[in-house]
Amino acid sequence: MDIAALLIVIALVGLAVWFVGQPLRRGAAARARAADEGRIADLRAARLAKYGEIRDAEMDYRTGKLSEEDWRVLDRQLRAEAVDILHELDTLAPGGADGHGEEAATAADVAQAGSEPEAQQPVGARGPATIARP
Amino acid sequence: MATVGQACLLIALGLCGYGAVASIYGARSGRDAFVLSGRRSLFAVAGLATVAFVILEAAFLRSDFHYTVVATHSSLTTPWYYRLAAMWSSQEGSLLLWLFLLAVWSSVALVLLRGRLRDVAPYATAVQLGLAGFFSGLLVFTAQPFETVPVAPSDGIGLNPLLRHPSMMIHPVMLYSGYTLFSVPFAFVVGALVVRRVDAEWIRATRFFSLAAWLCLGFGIILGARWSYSELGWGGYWAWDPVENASLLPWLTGTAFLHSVMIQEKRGMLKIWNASLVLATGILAILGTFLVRSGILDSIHAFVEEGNTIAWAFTALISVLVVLSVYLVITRRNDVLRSEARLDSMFSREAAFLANNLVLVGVTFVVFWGTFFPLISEAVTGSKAAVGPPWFDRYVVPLVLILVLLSGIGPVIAWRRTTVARLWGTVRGPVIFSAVVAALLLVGTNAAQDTESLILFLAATFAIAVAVHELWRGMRARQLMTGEGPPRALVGLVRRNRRRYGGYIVHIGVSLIFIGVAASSAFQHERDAVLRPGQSARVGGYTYTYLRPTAKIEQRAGELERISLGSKIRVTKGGKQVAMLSPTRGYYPTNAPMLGVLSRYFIGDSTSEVGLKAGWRRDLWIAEQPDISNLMPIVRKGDAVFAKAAAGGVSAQMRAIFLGQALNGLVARYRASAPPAQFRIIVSPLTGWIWFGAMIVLFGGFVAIWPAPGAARGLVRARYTARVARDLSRA
Repeated sequence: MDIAALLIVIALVGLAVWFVGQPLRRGAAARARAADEGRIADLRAARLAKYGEIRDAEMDYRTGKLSEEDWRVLDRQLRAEAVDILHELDTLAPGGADGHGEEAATAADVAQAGSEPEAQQPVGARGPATIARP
Repeated sequence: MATVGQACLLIALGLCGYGAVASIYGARSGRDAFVLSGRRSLFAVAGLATVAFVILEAAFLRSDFHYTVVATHSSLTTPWYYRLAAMWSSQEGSLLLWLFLLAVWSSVALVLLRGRLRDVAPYATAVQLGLAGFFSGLLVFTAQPFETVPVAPSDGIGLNPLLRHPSMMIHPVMLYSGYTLFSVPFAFVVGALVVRRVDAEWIRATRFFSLAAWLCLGFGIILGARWSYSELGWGGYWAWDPVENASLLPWLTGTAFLHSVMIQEKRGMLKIWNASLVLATGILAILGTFLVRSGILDSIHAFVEEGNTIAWAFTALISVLVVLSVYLVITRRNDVLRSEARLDSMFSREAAFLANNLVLVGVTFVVFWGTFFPLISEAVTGSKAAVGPPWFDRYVVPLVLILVLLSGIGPVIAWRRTTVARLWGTVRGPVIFSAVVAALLLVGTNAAQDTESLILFLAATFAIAVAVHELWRGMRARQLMTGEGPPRALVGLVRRNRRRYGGYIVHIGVSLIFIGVAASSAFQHERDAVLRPGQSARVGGYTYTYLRPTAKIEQRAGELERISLGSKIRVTKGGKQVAMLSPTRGYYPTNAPMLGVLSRYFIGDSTSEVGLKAGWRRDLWIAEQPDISNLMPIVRKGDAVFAKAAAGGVSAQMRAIFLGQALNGLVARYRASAPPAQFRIIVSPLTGWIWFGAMIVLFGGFVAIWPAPGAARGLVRARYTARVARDLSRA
């Protein structure tokens, strides 16, 4: 083994040990809020997914795959599930990461998710009021 | 640098062991520092694997024959772009590619999922590190890519000529990307099962990787089929070869998974099924690599070398993964994997997806059974017996018919329940369209000659019509909602729900592929003919005329790369020329020392370059096997002359000049008086639809995988909207 290769190998080992060992030296104190942060991130993803479902159901209704009655039932259920998610989210992050309130932000999300179809109904019949704040 | 590369692998192996233990210890003890350290281990492994990968690629690029793997898989006459790809034609290089891709994709997953699934991620990291450790171990102890010799040979053996094809540069990378990307949902479901948190969150979190894996694997399979069609010289694109099947198996279960996860996301159902599917997909991905690299099954695609000792290691890994998966599913089946809802109706999208899943798993089972039948028969009867394409076709074709039909029905049924009347209302248009197409096919073509193909045409037409109709109806609904024009409404519709409409586009592409497969299988005209210059053969209404032989010496970097012997073929229909084709066979020199100076240019590897005129309606295809028997007596005489010259002290420079003259003479002789050549001639209808369909699948896949703008920007915009509303209300 030539000297240059030996030096590179030693440097690689040193770099790897430093990089991997750094969190152990810093300690775990800085990550005390990790569990809550993780749950909040999961809930935010779940919230967006739920809004997607609400939109999907509405599109199914508008393209004739769901009857108005079925859509109302499904929509009510999905909104209830969205409310549960929002409730838990507010419990974990009452002030919101940006200081403007998770509730306000997510309520606006819901409103935005269904804001477009409010005025027009598909095939004559007027459906229920589209996605409003749960 | 070989030492550095070897050291990278050794350090990576150590880090894999440490990182896996640290991740699990950190998760169990609640010490986040260890979890983070384990996570960083994976990043470090990715960095080290990248360094090792680059070192070996650089060795290939500069033709450093000190590296054994470079000397045995590349040569001075190998073009630089094939030298880049030559690495993964070797056992060692392909395993290093696996490690590199696994570590990089796993690291990307951890970065993108930062902050999510915090309880699951450490176990997923441990699984990824375990897999990376397995491949690092193979590279350190068994298949060492950085093995060197003190004195480099003057030239290498060269890349297997069959692999000198553009598809082959990308095909392995795509397959391995698919395999390694599937390890992400695999690792996360293991983690989710360990911590007993099997809600839909792990599915949402890893969806991007599941889709990317499916897309890469599918693209890799298509590239392999294209390579087979244009390089192997037998005229087909799929032969139910074990290695082809090995890549198809995880793609099939992955396809089933991508559909069934929607049921879990929407209804909280099929948790056991989804967990099992993704576990099976991960294991089948490892199995795919195992089949290519172990050589336990005979295959034209298995690039296995002498002294292969990795079979037992792979068998052990797969056994461990199977036992672990079965244990996790069985021990969680009654609590966290319990379904949250029941099937409301057989007339529901859930039921259609479930049926689709059952068919896909049925196809997987058939392919698995047929692929491993040689091993099964050997274990049971003591003799190896294989099943051929007719066996696969007998079982797979009916299942595919059902599958295509279901891909048409699934999108038009609502979740939970629908009525027959409502279902009829949504499929009426596509059904009528399919009926019209059927009538046209029956009247205007000979499609009725093959019932299975006719049914498949109809099912595929129905599926395409449904997908197009759905896009149209969605666009109309959006137009009504927003007042946008049709193009804008269509784009807005797809952007709004990329997953759904991307999926519909994929359905269109897959249906086109099946139409191409059915047409080219059932209505292909094929003929083997021996022709002299001037003679013709008639195939499928086309006349192929052998105009004249061609022969040339192709050089690269001042060295002879290959001798190409071929022909000029004129194709006519009704007396009118429709194509001029130039099939050739390339003879690559071998460095085998026992062969004579001239023989080594004709007895080494040879590959077919087919003559192909592709079109929307049909492909005109021809491959040639030249007869070089009349050249061989001259070649053998030349060998003797050169042997005498070498013994008689003729200088190497003079011998090289004589060699050039001799080869030019042989080539000229073939051109002047070529004996009859063997041709395989094919007229194949709609084969081009397969490649076009694949492009559409790729496009649809990208649409589905592209992050929805609303997911990120919508939240930010909504927050600002809420803030503005609140501020205004305060004012």
